[in-house]
Formats: sequence, structure tokens, C-alpha cells
Amino acid sequence: MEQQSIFETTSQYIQNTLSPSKNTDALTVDTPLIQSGVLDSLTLFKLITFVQKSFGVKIKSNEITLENFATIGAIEALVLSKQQG
Amino acid sequence: MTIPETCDVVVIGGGPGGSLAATYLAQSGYHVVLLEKQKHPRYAVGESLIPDFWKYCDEAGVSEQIMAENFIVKAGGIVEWDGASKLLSFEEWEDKRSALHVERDRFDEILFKNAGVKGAKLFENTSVDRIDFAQEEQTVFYRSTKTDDSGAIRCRYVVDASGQNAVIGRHLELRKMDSDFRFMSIWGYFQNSDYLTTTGEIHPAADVATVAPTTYITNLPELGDWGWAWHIMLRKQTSVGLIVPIEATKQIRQESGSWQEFFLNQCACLPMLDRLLTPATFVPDSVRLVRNYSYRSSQIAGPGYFLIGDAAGFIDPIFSIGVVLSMYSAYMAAWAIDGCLQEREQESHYQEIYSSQVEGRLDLAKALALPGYDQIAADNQQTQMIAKLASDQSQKLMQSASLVTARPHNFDALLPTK
Repeated sequence: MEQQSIFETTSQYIQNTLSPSKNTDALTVDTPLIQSGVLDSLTLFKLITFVQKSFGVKIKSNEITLENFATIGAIEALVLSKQQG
Repeated sequence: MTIPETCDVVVIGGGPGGSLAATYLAQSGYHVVLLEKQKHPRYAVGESLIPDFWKYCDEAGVSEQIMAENFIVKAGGIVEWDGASKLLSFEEWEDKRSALHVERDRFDEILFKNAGVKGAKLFENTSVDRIDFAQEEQTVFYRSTKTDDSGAIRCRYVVDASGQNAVIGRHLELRKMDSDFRFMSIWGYFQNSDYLTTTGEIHPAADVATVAPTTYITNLPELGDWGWAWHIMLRKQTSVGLIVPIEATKQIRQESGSWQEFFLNQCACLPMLDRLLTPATFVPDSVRLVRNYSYRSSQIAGPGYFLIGDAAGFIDPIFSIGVVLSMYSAYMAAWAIDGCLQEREQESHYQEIYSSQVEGRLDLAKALALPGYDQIAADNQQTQMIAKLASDQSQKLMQSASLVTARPHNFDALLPTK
């Protein structure tokens, strides 16, 4: 399933690469990423690069919002809408 | 070592922003040349750092060296505004990393040398005369400040980290003075000053390594809602400075004579500052000043260039955010240039993200620093979007910062739901 693969790929990247020191063991589709500080001003952009490369999409400037990056679920929805659109 | 004829990126200026941008790009495998006009260690002001700066140093692999230097750890800030004294304590926010007071000559030198260790080619005593911008390639003309040597280096991107010199900003006439900030800054150094702890106790300078000091900030009640003063304990000296409206200085200075006299008179007018400086001796000839205090660049990225740090814009650094903003823009510029170099056809895409993110941050800093900025902030969607991208904890920090200077309207306008 493509939907599951976006979630798994993204959560693995966050766990292994971005926040190894933070407690990200139990990332779900609904875990707050930005408000909780798992993603900060620096790691958010590493993730954007990763998402662009992994899923073949372009994140536009005005799409870098809390709504689109608040959770892995939100990121997944953004990627899917771009892949379909 | 001679300056090469070509490279991927030339960084102008070896302050914290320039050194970090060069480091990040070198770590990504790019061929980076960093040109610094002076020679490290060299003097710089802006000694107070909030804990946010660590993540940029972690990324550059330089945090251990900064720890080993044993800079002064600060416990927070005490802000006295219109007579009411409030504490901003970092401990309350569960930040495990320390805020620091650093001697910038040493701090900047550590970051600069680290850029070399990570693979950037460093050249000191080298100033930039001009840059020719072209579609595919930029040519940077440089000159030695010690000899008659001069030359040119061709590169794909130029990062302007030249601080208030704003080499590209002046060259392309991008700089706009900020009419909201008709300020100047004047500062100097003392030895043996007392200081305040987070509990409001006064300690002698000899305790500074064992009992953590605060950054003490006070407004200047006689000069309206604008001016303020800082008191920052360093290892051997204390940095004391004033931000004053330019209009106010004209009249006051006529009465005072020299800038040094003006500075010392103003310090003596502020009761707590005067109290802390009672046992202190003024370091002779240490007074410096910056006029035309605040400016922005109308454009912070364009074909072939990115402006970072003070070269992009300089904002009242009331909450010790100057260096961290510079580091942030360094990181974003490196991120954007990496994108541009990997996908040539996407240059405008990465430049747009860089510009909107960094300009949003500058506006956010301005909203926290300026009185009466609420409506401007409320009308600016990009700034609100950036504010929402901050974690709950940093939003709380911003909110309490705006509260202690009696400017909560600005913050409320940015994040109405909080």
C-alpha cells in the first residue's frame, strides 16, 4: 500500500536521521511533530528535502505550513494530494 | 595557500553566519572559499546567546569545542521595564542546554577555524571589492588588506555574510533603512562589575564562574517606549550598552560633549545599572557606536546570491537573537544552495523558500522588538505562518519575552489563538 509506505518511510527517517536523541519511538500518524519540537526550524527543512526526493514531489514555499507538517498524517496527505494532482 | 580560481560557493565574511554557512556547504561536499576581511581573533559585539544556538553548532560539529572553552553560562534574563522587574529563566523552560555570554573574538574564531577543519578554504585579510553577476557564473574580485595582491574567483553562488558592510546589498542597492528604527547603539566595557542572579541577588564579579549571572536589560524611561540598556557579564569584563533613539541623542549629546561622556552619564542615570557598576572601573577608550542602526534588504536572494545574517537585515537584538538569526539564515542559505546546485532549473523555487522563511523570521524578531507593531504583524500572513511553525515551547518563550517588555499585543496579533 502506497499510503503505508509514505508513513513508514517518513517516520523511519524522522526516527533514525532527524531525532535520534529525542523520544520518537512511538511516532504515529497523529504525533505532533512541530508543536512538540520533534521537528524544529532546522530539521523541518531536512525533512522537506527528504520528502521531495523520496516521493518525487515539489513542496512550494506557501505549502510550508503548520497544517501541512503538523503530523506524519498531514505530510502523507500533502504528498498524496501532490502525487494525484 | 593561494586563493583558487574557481569554486562552487564563495562566502564573504567569517563571522558566525559566514563560518557556519561555509561549514554546512563543505560538509555537503561542495568546494567553498571563505573570504574574511580581518584576521581572527577579532572584536565583535553581541555577546549574549540564547540556547537555540546549540543546534546550529551541533550541525557544524563544533559544540564540544564551545563547551570546552568554558564560556560564562547565563541563567536567564532580568528585564526591568517601566520600573517592574521580571525574570526570564531558561530553567523554567526545561532547556537542558545553556545560554551563554561569550567573548565574540574567541567564539567567532572557534566557528571560523571549524569551517576550515570541515573542508572550507579560509582566507583572512582579504576584502571583496565587487562582484560581477552573470547567468551561470559569478566573479568575485578580492584584494589583500595587507599586500597589493588582488584577484578574482569564479563561482556558482555567493553568500554575503559581510555583516553591516553588506557588500552585495550596497553593490545592488538593496539596502533600505528601517524607518521604524531611528536608533543608534552605544556601548563600552567595564571591569569588576557586580551582577544579578535569577533570584535578584547582587554578586561580585569574582563569583561569575560559580554563580550563574543573568543578562540584565532595562528600558530607558526618560526616552519613551523605545530605548533600552544591556549588562552582560563576560569572563574578565562586562559589556554594557544602550540603544537610544537618534532624536534623543542630539539634544542630550549637546549637553554632554563626547560620546564617552554621554554613555557614562546615561549609565549613571539608570539606578540598577548604576548600582551594579558601583565597584567597576571603566575600560578606557572602550566606547563604540553604531548609527543608522536598523535596515533591511529589499531582496535577500537573487540570481547567484544569498544574503545572510546582518547583511540581510539588522534588527533590534533585544532578546539576544542577533547571532541565532544569523545562524538560522546560514543554515537556510546552505539548504537552499544545496537544492539549487542539485537541481539547477529549480533555483527560483529554492530562493523563494529561502526568502519567505528568512524574511518571516526577521519580521517575527521585529514584532517582538518593536512597540506598536501589532497591526503590521496581524496583516502579515507570512510572519504568522512562520510563528506557527515554532514549537509550543518556543512560542511560550516568545510570549513571555513580549510580556516582560509590556508588548504582548504584538505577540497576540501574530498568534491570536494562543
